[in-house]
Amino acid sequence: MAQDGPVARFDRRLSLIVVLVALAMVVLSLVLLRGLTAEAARTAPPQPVPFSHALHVGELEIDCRFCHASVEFGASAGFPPMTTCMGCHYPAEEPPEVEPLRWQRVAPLPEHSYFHHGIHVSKGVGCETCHGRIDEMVATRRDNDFTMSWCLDCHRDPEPHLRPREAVTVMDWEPPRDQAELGPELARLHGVRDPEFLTHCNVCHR
Amino acid sequence: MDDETADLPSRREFLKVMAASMAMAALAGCGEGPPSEAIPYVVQPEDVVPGRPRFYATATLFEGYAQPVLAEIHDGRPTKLDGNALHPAASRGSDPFLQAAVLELYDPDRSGEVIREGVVATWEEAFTALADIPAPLRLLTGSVTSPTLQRQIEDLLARRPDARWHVFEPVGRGLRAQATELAFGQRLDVHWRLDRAPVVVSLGEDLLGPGPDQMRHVRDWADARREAERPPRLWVAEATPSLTGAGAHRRQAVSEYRLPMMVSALGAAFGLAEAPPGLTEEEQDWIARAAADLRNRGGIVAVSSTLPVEVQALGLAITRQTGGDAMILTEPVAVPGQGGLADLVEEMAAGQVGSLLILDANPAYTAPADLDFPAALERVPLRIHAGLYQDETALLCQWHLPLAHALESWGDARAVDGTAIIMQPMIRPLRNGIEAAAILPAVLGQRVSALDEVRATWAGPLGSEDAWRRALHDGLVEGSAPPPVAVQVRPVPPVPPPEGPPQGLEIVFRPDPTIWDGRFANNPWLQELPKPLNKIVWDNVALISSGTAQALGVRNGALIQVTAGGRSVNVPAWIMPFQAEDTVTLFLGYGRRQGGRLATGIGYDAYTLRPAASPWRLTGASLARAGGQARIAETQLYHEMGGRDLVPVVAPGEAMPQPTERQPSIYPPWTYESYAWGMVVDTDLCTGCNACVVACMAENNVPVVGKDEVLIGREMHWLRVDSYDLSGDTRFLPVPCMHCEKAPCEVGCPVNATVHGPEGLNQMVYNRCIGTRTCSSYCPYKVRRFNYYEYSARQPETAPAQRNPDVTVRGRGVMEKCTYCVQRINAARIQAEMEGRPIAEGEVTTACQDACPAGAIIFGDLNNPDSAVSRARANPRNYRLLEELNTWPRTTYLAAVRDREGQA
Repeated sequence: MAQDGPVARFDRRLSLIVVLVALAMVVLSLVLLRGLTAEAARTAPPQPVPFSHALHVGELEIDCRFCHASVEFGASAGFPPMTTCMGCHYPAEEPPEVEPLRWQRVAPLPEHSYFHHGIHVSKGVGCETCHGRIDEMVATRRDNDFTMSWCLDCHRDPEPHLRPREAVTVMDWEPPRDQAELGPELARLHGVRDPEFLTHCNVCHR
Repeated sequence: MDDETADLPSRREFLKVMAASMAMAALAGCGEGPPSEAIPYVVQPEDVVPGRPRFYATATLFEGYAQPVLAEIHDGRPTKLDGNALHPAASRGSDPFLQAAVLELYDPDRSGEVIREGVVATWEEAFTALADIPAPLRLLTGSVTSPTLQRQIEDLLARRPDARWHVFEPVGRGLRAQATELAFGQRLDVHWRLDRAPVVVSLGEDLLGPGPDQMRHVRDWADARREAERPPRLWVAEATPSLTGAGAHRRQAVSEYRLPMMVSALGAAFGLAEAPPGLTEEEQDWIARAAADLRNRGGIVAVSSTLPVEVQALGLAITRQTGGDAMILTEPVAVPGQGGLADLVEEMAAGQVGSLLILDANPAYTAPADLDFPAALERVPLRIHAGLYQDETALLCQWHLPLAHALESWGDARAVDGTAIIMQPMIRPLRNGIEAAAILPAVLGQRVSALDEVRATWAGPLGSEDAWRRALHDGLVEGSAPPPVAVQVRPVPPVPPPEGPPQGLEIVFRPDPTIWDGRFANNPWLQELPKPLNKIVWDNVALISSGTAQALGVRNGALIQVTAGGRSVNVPAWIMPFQAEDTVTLFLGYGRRQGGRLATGIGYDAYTLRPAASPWRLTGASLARAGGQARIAETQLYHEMGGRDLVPVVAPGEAMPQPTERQPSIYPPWTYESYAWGMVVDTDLCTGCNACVVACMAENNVPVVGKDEVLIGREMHWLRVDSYDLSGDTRFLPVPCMHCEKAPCEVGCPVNATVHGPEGLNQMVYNRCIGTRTCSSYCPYKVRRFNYYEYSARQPETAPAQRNPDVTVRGRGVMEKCTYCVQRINAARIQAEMEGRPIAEGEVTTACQDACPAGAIIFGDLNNPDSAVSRARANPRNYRLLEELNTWPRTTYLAAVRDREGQA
């Protein structure tokens, strides 16, 4: 075995530097990425009409399902057709011949993820649990990350997030008694599957 | 050991870090996220649930016959078609053409504009031209079953005495109608009830092969075989192998020239004809045994509709003796025209035609070459073509009018059994086309809507709104099938003696099994659908026997020149087992010159050799080596089992030898608490029709890759149907993912992208897959497909409209495979859980299962001992594919049943 020459020593130092720089980049990108997604989650996109959930839900106390009519049984909660708006705003008039509204989605999912509103509502997951305090939002924004790890937080341990079915649309809901006791009870009552099942890939991806 | 690994990051953490840095790199490049707009209705139709498909009954057309359809509509887009189970002609399953019709709807090459002399014109101008159409007027259509079109044509002929109606179908039913006239004194349709025939003798008739009758024939055949103590026997003598021959009890390769002699010999056994001299011993043995079987058990004799009328009439006469209620005769379902193509061309060439209106036909391509249709057409002063495509004929006409697709149309048509269907539009016309029923009356100066015309036709039986709506809802008009006709037996005319031993080789013409006469040539699903017997895609070949190949000194793919009747065409040779000696099979439908980007420029045009006088058979042909080798893409490179009994055969009532005990496995056992999905495929019922393959493509967004990619083994079909040629028969083996209990792919994947699910499914996780393809190399069944390019992005701009929104469109560099239609399982599970009940038996069906006309695919919950799939698993014929590999496949098979008695 010959002793290492200066070139070999330099090589070792260089590779150490490369590794350190790469690590630093990874850490930096992680920090940046989290910042970016968090930022995106909190920004309300511009909408075609200045619709305020704070007014409709918060002040007028209209139930979520009045507009999002298929939330209890459909994959999509459904956006209200314009006739639903007209029902209150211009009750006597014929449906208008207008272009439909083009809403900007606040919480879109990637194409390879399939979310079903109906099943979540029927298991007692509240609107607020994912969408936040909609009743306080003048401009609707995303109140959570909507990342896979955030979904999994609940799929791995659903019990702390369950409500009685009649409380699903309630905003600012407080469990009537200790959630640690209520959760498992509701899980049994609603037939919530065990976390092992809820976290298998095909539940959300197909 | 623990100490050494304690400090290392777990696999999951490592991947997280890697993913983050990759995401940073990707951020700069990608701008497109998920769809960001939500566009609700202005007025939402009642009972529409966003994201939930709706189903409507209608029909697509195949040679003028209605194919009963139940269409799946997602947000206004038809995405998937299946057979309408309420309709007697499709009470189970579908066929490849019905399945693929939905893609034709979105074909970007479909004609969308009125064209006059090569320039875009308006419908207004077209209607004016139609109203002034000069006499004498000739109308040329394909086969017509539509009562509305029939009424309109009759009206036209009554009011325009100069007009005549000609019908030309390049394949159609040959001389069947003339044969019934000879046998029974009137033109009739012959309906074979294969479920009522203990013995079926086919002389060249492809009962189970592609065509408008395939669905009901396969269904009935399967019903007769399913768990039968004494399954029906099928005797087949044919010149070129067909799907019917594939399932034969005993098949005899007989040249088309000798087939009439075979029929005569069979007739002689029943005292109806003179026994012809010159049959070989083998042929005589075949006849004697088939005749004995017919006499003992009763059954039908189906003679090819392409053989001379006297020969067919003899077959019908034998069946009258032996057939019982398995042969049903009715008034013809298709309306007979006033003439054919040959007499029309004669008139045209003589300059006796003032104007020609061609409705949904393409004679410039499909007419036999010796008629020289294009030259005759030029002598017609005004030529108007209406069709789905701007095809060869459109190019030679002054006017081209775009027809609406069947799925965009109001209309009516009869299915093969005669039961009428009111066709309703599934979507507004995507292009500027309108229905034929709205074009014809324009000749009389009438401007009508097709809907009004259809309602007028059915004003009697469907006069009330209730009856009309019921007919639309059910997809059929109750009781509209023609009743059986009682006929007098006539003395059988003698079969004319053969015209002397044939000189040279014999050519037989056949429609292509996937693109038919060329009308489906621009449909990529059908182009890439492997031909059932030789698994060739995107091409047609000339089938020859191995003896002919040896004499010529050619191998598969060698270009040969076929010369006959002074014309010749260069074709790739293909050696086919069970091909009659000295017989060359040419397939119609390829060599298109115009009619879409996919259709044109591939294959050879067999119409150039086809004689008008004898459209199915041409003698005196010669073959010569043309030099060179064609690149033929096939999805199965050899059709032998290589010593493995992949599709075993048992005698009726016999069981498969069952392994005494399962081999041990080093992998941990799985437990299934709720459901355990499984599939059983009955290889005895599979006829190789391929409906399941197209259904899988439609349901699962399986991309088409093209000939070049197939040539290097990159086809993407999640489900394939293998065919194996054995000494006696051909057997089919549909191969989806086996969803193994001890899946080699699961242990092979370095990133856990394929994992075992809690209900037994072998799950493929696209977003985890990094494309090492290890799983595919570990898979002994070769069902995994790697997406080398983003094939879905190579499809035309209109293709995404067809896609199933419930299935991920896979990207580049990802492995994919059969999922057991997990989207359907999930939908059923969600529905059941919302209703607080278990998933019912039969609630989950896979796309291939729904498509199968034979009912050969059974899917369901293995945890439920009463489910159909559990019962099928318990069937003594149950076996596992490549069981010796100890993969414990979840998809199992039932062995084929053959009784060997009297076979050789």
